[in-house]
Amino acid sequence: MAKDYGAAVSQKGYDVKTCADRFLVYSSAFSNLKIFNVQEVSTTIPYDVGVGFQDFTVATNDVWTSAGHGLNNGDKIRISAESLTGGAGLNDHDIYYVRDKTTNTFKVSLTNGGTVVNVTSAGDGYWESAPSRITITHNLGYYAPFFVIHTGTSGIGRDHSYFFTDSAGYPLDLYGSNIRQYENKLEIDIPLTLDQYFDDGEPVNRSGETVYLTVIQFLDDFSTISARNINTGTTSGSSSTDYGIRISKAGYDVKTCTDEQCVFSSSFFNQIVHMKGSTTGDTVSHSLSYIPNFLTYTNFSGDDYIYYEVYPSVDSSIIDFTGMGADYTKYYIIFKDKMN
Amino acid sequence: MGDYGFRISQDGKDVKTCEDKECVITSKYATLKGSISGGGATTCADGGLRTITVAHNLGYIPYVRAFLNPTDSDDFNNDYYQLPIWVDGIMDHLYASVYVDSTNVYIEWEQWNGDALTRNYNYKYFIFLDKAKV
Repeated sequence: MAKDYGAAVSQKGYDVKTCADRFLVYSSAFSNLKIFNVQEVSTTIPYDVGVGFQDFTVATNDVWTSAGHGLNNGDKIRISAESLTGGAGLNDHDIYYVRDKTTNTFKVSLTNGGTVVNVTSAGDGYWESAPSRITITHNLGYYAPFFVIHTGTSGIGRDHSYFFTDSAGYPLDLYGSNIRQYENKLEIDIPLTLDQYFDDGEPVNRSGETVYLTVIQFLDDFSTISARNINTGTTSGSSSTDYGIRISKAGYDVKTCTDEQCVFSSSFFNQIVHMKGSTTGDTVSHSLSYIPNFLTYTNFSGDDYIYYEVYPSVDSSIIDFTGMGADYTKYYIIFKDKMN
Repeated sequence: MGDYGFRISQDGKDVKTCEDKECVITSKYATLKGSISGGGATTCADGGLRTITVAHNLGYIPYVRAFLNPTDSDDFNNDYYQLPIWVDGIMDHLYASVYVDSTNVYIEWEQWNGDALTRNYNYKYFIFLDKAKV
């Protein structure tokens, strides 16, 4: 078993010398997720400018043909994910503004009324109404973990928060590739409808409403930290008296501030990082002999962003990415916290 | 502006010169502070909706993470999955999410399967002091 050195603080009621690693608030042997920034962002849920997905062809004169498209100059569209064939110069990520429209044709630009996007090979695909896009520039220079929490809309109200979605995964769809973490920015695409499946059972188009999100951006990267166990003991005690260490956030009195206003406090457990890294393989062994808390993101080969990934599962020995395939790079953080 | 406070570097990193992200902890950046953790076992009928309500009584909306372990599914491993889940398997379909208000945490899911069976689940949650709605 590895020797510990440096500093360690145990949770209230646990013997710092003998408790298991997972009962430490922090230890210099293990890292913690550090919050780089927390902010609230909002945007307007877009209006539908078309009828679902509509097919188009595009030629090297930059003209899109889509019979009876119904678009107006200035409308925002995007190419449906993975539908584009050919059409060099276009992609299914950018949001395009319609210009030079006729009944059955139009051109596009990257800004409203801007320069026409140059198409260098003929192509075809499907277009759809563009989402509202929120961009948060963090300039970290690497992939970093993040959370996006939906905290309501101007129509629904703001009494609840939802982690990465607003329901069981029906649109809003705030996970998957609608939220993309690049090395220097985070992009969030808000689609058209906002389902209130668990609230009223009916999908509701909430175009025009303001949607609110809390974005938690962490400082940490996915460079490898290998699994390490210092103490697997379970010796513990109990005490109602607060003691140990607490550090307040800037501007708050450490003696009188609330626990929430602390950078950290030994009164509360911490998500100590057991190991982290990235892999294209199917499994990662964690060697904890219990089921741990974990966090995963993924990146498809060739993409320059990662997104929150719900597919993997964890048991008492591995985190399992089986089925995702080697085309995906899986980024993982495994914490000391125990699930079972 | 000068830095002040304290920082502890990772093993092998010079605490005076390493980057902030190479620190175990630094007073410059907060960490998530865990308040309550717990879990349990329950069932969900085919086509039904299961809601687990956990009181946190923080008086504000906290950040929460939750996990679900389908123990007898045809399509899911007998492992823990992080929420939300929206998966249409070959036999099993599972939609699950976690949401929070200023009083409670709600872990909610529905499932249906080709055999019309009630399924068994373990669930786990971690409630933090940190606010989800800032």
